[in-house]
Amino acid sequence: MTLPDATIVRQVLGGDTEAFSHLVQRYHDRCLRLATHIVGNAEDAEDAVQESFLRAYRFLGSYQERDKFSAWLLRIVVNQCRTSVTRAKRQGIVMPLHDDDVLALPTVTHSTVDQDATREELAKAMQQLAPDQREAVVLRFSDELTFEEMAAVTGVGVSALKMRVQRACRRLRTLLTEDSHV
Amino acid sequence: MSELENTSLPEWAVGELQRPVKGTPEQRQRIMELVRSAERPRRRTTAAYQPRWFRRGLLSPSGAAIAAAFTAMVTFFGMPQSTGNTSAAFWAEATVIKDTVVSGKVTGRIASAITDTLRIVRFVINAPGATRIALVGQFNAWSKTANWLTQDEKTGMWIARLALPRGAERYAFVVDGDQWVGAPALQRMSVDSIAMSVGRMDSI
Repeated sequence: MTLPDATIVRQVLGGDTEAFSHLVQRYHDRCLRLATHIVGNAEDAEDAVQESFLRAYRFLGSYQERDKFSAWLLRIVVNQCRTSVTRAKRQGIVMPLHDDDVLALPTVTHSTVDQDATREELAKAMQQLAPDQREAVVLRFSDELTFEEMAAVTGVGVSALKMRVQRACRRLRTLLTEDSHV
Repeated sequence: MSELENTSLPEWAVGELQRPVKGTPEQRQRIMELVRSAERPRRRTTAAYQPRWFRRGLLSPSGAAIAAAFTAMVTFFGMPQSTGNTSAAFWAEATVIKDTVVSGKVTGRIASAITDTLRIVRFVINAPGATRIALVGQFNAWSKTANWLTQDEKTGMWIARLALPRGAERYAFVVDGDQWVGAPALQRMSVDSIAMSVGRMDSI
């Protein structure tokens, strides 16, 4: 039987540290996909997710059961990704994305030349978006959140998020068309 | 162009964004190692939740306008009186009004002895919502029925005037029969110390 998130949180707060591994197991892949698309490379994404889980554990006492745990956790991940992107900019790191990073993304199906090409093309286009637009697109399409859920995760208003997604989609379509893919 | 078209991407791009990214057991193990070495999380206290505007220390223009309006109302009309009987609303003071009035017929050592030993002390306490208040102290053997305060109809203050001897008298108020106010802070004050300062006693 799958324990509800809130039950696991109570167990952890009650002193059962190992119960936190259930939450890690449950949300690690989702957080990793989100972070990978936002920060643009696998290594930084892994660091951001690792730091996010650690922060989630340390501040678990501030989680309120009336909120969805996944939304609370994703909010931490998004904040951590923002920090990562800002730090990368300050350090003058060009994002993205080396081709190796794009190709290093794990796959579930057999990898073909076409798949690698589309992946690389999308990743490059994504990195040309403004960070807030990229974040909105990832939450909307990768995680399939509603705008209300996105607002809970990002702390940004629904109308502003709709505008970001709209602008990001327009920009992405242009970028992808320029590469003659649509 | 419709809103749907404005917020859509090519199918292959959406598929690419939704493609699962699999973490490794080693990555999860590393996270748990960090968690085990971290300080244990503490449960949130009931007072920990604060609205976002408070945490950020910012008010929206409308919020600022409401706050300004509330401040102006409090300035002009004062805070509404609480009907609850909370100790936080209490304040009290004891004032030596004067030395005992001695009739002019009484002169000499007797008069000076009385004047020297008794003083009229005015006790005042503000206790919103109280129905009866007793003054207790060493002078009445801490009786909760010996000395009652009366409420001033205009100010709502509870007042008692007593002629008390100088010395180490200690006192407190008992509100509605069971709530002691001033103990132990007021009990440490003495009528003697009031007499020395001749006036307002320090707040409780």
